[in-house]
Amino acid sequence: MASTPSPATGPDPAPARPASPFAADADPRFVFRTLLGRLPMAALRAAAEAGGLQSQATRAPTLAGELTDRLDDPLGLREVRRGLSDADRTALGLFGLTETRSWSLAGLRLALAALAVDADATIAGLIGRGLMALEAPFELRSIDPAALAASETAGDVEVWAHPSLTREGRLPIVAAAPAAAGPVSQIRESDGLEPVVRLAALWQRAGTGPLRRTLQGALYKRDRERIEEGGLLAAAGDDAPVDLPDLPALWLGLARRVGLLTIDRDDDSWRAAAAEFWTENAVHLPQMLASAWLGLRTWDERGEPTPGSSPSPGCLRPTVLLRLAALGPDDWTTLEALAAALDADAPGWDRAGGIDDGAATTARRGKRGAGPERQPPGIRILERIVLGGAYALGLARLGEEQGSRRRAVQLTPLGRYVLAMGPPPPPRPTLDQFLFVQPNLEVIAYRQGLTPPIIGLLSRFAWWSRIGAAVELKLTQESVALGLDWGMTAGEILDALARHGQHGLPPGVKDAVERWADRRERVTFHTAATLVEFNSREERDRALEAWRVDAPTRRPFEPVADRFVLAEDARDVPTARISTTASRDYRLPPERCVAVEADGVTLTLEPALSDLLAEAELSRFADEEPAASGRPAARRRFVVSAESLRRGLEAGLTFGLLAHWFRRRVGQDVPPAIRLMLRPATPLDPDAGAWSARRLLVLSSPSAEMLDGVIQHPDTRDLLGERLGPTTVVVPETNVDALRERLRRFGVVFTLP
Amino acid sequence: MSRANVRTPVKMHRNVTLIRTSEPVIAEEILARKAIARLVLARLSDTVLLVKPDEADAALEELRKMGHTPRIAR
Repeated sequence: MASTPSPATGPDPAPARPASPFAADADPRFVFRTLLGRLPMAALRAAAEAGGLQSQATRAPTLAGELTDRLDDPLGLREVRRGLSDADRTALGLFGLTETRSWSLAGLRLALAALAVDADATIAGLIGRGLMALEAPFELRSIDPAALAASETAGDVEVWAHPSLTREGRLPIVAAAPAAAGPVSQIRESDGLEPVVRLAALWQRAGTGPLRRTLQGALYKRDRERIEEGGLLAAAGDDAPVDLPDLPALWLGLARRVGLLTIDRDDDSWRAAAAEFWTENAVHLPQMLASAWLGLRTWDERGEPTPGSSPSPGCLRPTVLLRLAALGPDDWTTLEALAAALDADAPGWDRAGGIDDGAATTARRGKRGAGPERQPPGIRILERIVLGGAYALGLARLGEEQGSRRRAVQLTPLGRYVLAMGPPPPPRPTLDQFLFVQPNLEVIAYRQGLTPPIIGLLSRFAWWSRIGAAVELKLTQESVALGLDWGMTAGEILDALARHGQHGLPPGVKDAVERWADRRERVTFHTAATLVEFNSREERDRALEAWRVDAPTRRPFEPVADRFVLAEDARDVPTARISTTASRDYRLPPERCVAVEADGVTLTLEPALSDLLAEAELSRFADEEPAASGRPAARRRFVVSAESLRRGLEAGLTFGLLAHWFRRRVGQDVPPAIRLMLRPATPLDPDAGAWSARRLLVLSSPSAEMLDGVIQHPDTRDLLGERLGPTTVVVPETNVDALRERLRRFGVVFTLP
Repeated sequence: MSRANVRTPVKMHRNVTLIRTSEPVIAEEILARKAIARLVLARLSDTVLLVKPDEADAALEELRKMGHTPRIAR
């Protein structure tokens, strides 16, 4: 079914970032070197001089290579690091903290300014020393960040840092800590599992079918609806102090960044990562999600990133958390104090984004019963960053300042750990038996028992259906089939449920899972099977027997039809036992493999080039000729007849489809003989109706030369009709007597029967 | 040359999209459904159907609509 692109919703990277000539997975070192090579030669020479690099290079790319080689060399890198100031380390460390390869220039300037760093001087200094590089869709005439930021195209400028320099560990925070709040009560903290469960639910939905995207990167409407279906991914969490806009886009962006969704290069769609993702990453997933959120650019607190030179509020996420980290671990601050601290260092920081009032009214669920009240823009941004993302991810906790009743916030141990400001948080106490499996195949999971690895385990075979204080899952035939696809067995599924269940499994659940597992074996869908074609059934059977004897433990091959063997995995085929005479890859475009014989109706398959598709296509409108003696057995012929064509037409074949097939498979137009047979069914002949026939009087001469004379001579030439051949010519009935008379003058006599 | 060393000449068809059923009647049931039958190019045997290579996702979706939960062999 056709699907249409969704409207401008979805995690479309285009608005967030200008189109880059570099692939998303391009080696950052290569990108950095290339960008550095685009700088004016004078700027590069100055960078080399500043770094004490003696170079004879005369070309910018060469000098850029020498500058980056120095950063790839441990000794050179140590030297460079030694010369970094705190401000430099903060700027470079933001790349590592957010695990991003590049920042928008506008965003980096704002983030640094909000950390009380002289942004322009720091960025200019790093660029001037060849430690940062600029990417812009126009020729750079200046590398001055302030001048670039003031230009109309500032929103298109990206800043790259060399990857060797971005792992700064604990960042030096020069900004003053916000004013500490008084005693705090009513403390709330999330378990950080909400995003994990939602990403798991998203992963399941991508597992049932790829999420297809338009050329512009937006999801197709149908796939977007699939994600939003049931509200599981679109609804705010029960415990969320504020609502965030466009949650599906947030989960999609995070899933992409942590690798739960991968890009299929064939069609640019997003597919679910392999189930091994959970076993390899689940333990670290909270930290991975935190880093992914800190650097997420396909979504921001406004809901939908918009192009332009105005920085996104998203670039303030690391800054805001770092400002909170400047407080002692036990200290609290209010959003108002945090906003005041930012105001002092970066006046106008709250103009980032422009969060609309309508959305802001949804962000006051914490004050139950209170009507909508207008909040300053800075507070609205901080609410969404601290009480929205950071709270949900378990990076910040919320309380109420006693007396003022203002909202107070504080980093959690996980928040401090993610910022490299504290030790790893202690593991949460967990509950082993936390599942309540009901006979109706619904499973209730108490949150105390959930951990990212267990979320990953359950996600393989049960749909998440409700996420709240208690989490609900549903076992269905499809979910169990997906679990089996992801490598589990029915036994493992039942074991996981029993191991974590508070009571024994209801018998109906066991029966259902086993029945569904059996049912799944009824139909196998091979997406990339290998068929081995033999010349005859006897050869095939002989080979199968020999292969079985060679390797009795190997997965058995399945004979298909008379001459084929099906191998699920091409690596199973014993190549030492076969001689491949031809090979066709069905992922490649079809080849021309059919030849038309002189009669125009006999089509011959070229054995070396043909494929099963061509045979199937041919059999729709032609009949295979029995193998004749003297013709190679593998050379198969098909004959097109009026009857076979009629069969094809009845099955939906049209002249247009047939013409396309001939061009694709034969490399020429439909032969006239076949067009002739198609005539009644197609508008080929504009003068449809009876053809005319007439009798002709034909004069035959003994030789071509004599007829040439008759045709040339002025006495006779006007009496002749069309010449049919070397010695034959048509004579109109009315001219017969005159021609006979004139020829008699030359001594030629002809007779009429 | 001994018979064991003789290599059998074959033609390889790689990356073929197929539906394989455990019983012929299931293949019949699949072919009886127009939406999926148009995606099937040929019936190679009683239980093996050849699917148009560029219609794999659509065929899989149709199978699921029919209530099947096919094992996917990649």
